[in-house]
Amino acid sequence: MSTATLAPSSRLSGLFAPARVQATVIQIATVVMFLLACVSIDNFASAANLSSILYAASTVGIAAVGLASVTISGNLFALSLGATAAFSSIVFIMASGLGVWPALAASLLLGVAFGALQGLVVGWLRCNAIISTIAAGSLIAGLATWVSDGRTVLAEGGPTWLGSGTIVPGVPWQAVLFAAIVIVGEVLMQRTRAGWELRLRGTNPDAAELAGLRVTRMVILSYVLAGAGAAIAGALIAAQSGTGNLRVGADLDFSAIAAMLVGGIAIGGGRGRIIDVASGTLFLAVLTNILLVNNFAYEVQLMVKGLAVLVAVTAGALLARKSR
Amino acid sequence: MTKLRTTLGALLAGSFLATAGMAADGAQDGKSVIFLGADDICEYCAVYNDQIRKMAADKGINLEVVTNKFDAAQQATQVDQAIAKKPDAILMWTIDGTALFPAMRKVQRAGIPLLLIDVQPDQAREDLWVQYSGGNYEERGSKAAQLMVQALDAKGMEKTGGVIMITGMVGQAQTISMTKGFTETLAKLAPEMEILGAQPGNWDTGTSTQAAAGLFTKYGDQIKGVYAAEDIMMQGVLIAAERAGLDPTQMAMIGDGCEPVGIKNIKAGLQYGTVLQSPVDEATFAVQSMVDLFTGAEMPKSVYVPHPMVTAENVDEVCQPWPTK
Repeated sequence: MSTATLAPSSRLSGLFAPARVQATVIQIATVVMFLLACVSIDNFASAANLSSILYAASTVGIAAVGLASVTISGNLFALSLGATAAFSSIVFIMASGLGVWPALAASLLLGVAFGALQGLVVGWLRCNAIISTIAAGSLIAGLATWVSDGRTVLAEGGPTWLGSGTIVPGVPWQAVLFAAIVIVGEVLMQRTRAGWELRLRGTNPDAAELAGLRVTRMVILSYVLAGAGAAIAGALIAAQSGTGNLRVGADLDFSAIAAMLVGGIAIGGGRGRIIDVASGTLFLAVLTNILLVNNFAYEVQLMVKGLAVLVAVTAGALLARKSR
Repeated sequence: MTKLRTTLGALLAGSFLATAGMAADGAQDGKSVIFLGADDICEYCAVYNDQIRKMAADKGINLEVVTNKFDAAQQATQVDQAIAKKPDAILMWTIDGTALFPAMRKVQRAGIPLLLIDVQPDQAREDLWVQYSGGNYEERGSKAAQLMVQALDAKGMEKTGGVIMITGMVGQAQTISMTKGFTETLAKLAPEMEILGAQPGNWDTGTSTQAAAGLFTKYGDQIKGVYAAEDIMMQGVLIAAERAGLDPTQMAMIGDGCEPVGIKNIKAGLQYGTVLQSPVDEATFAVQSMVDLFTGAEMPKSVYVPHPMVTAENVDEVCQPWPTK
């Protein structure tokens, strides 16, 4: 028996190993659902509709990628993403007169600063992660209200290329940015010392500390990444509409958590890949789009989305148990 | 003699009313009112809260502002806390008209006058409050339908074909009333037009963009008009239309609220019209409602702010910029 015949079966069993089975199921489900929709729903595969799916996926996905670093490091969730995105949208529009890149940099700086602050509180001062991020969310929302007076900030020139430009029909620049962030995140998490330390901290915090890993620094880094992800998401939403306000990112916390968990990131930390976050995000974005394009009533949409998430997570858990 | 008696009587009555009026004038001075409102997270709310603080202070009313993030359960708790403070009146922006009926009953049992603003609950229960002042949401929906028909006429389009709606949050009293006003009036004015689909935009641009994109994908060229229940949601519709390759100037795009982004889109020719709902008007009416309560003036159960229709022709005249702090 040659290695050439062994390799595919070993790769296949790797895909359905307990640690990977949920992610694999979601990836297959996303592709199947997408292909079925392409053949059964009129205009689903049109460039306009594909770009609509990608716009929705990009903003939630970028926030979810940042959030995943917090979850993988064993600190559950950061519940300040929505507030960070809202403040970031306001800053982006206020700075948009300087150009897209300076405005994006200003938003990013804001996200990094608030992320670092939360990282210090959770990682260095060892405060409860959930309570700290809820408090930080309130602080950020208050500051954003103070800066904007609670008003919608309008960009002088309207939406920018970052908000409405496409690299090819159906693929907006925002999706390219999302893909780039997923690749960088995947490499960082899988191929660098920092990524290993983050995962080991999530698997067993005490052991990681005893082993002399840079635990505090890694926790701070995870919150910096979460803050940066939320800030970029806020800036992208603002770029789409040419407006920034406190409503931006209202559902971002829940959407990012759902995308990440559906994708296969373990809620207890230590397990999951950034590519899984992208799969979970695309799964939910395609499903949402199918429901919208079919003009299902809102209550039906809620039920179907809830059911799909439940089935995905349950199937993953059952398959994982069977594989053991 | 009879004439003299009548004249004297009239003079006496007049002097009594004048005295009573003088006594009543300023009766609101020093009265304490707790305002249970919506958080500054919504732009309209931020302007409203700012204005009502200033106007109440001008009238000598001690207004305590307590807000929530559109959370009816939190507002019910805030009602309990407000009752415990025994204010002279409670002014409430009901986050959910139906869910807050038990809380309103508590206010009534505590003997505290209740004034409602912005969201009008089911009028069958109007014994629970002294007065509602604010918007007439059904009228706003109706005006939007009139604007849509006007837009089709102005663009030389036939009053046939499809319309889509981007509504507020499902289940909210204002969403139900605006939808009712729009659909009923459109059915009367343009019976051959069909409402193809409706999706909630949740008073948010991003959600509205996604909702409209889905409907544009499904119905595409069949759509002749779009009604978005708020101008910031119409902004989302316009983004989705651009992505779908649809020309908004060739459609009847109707928003609501005279919001800054709506004014900008009307002036750019992307949105045909909007309906005025001014936070300044609403705050003025709410303060008048408090003054009337304390001065013992006659108070009808409902007082509505004006909702003129707005197009490019009168946008500068009607849609005044919202005041800043």
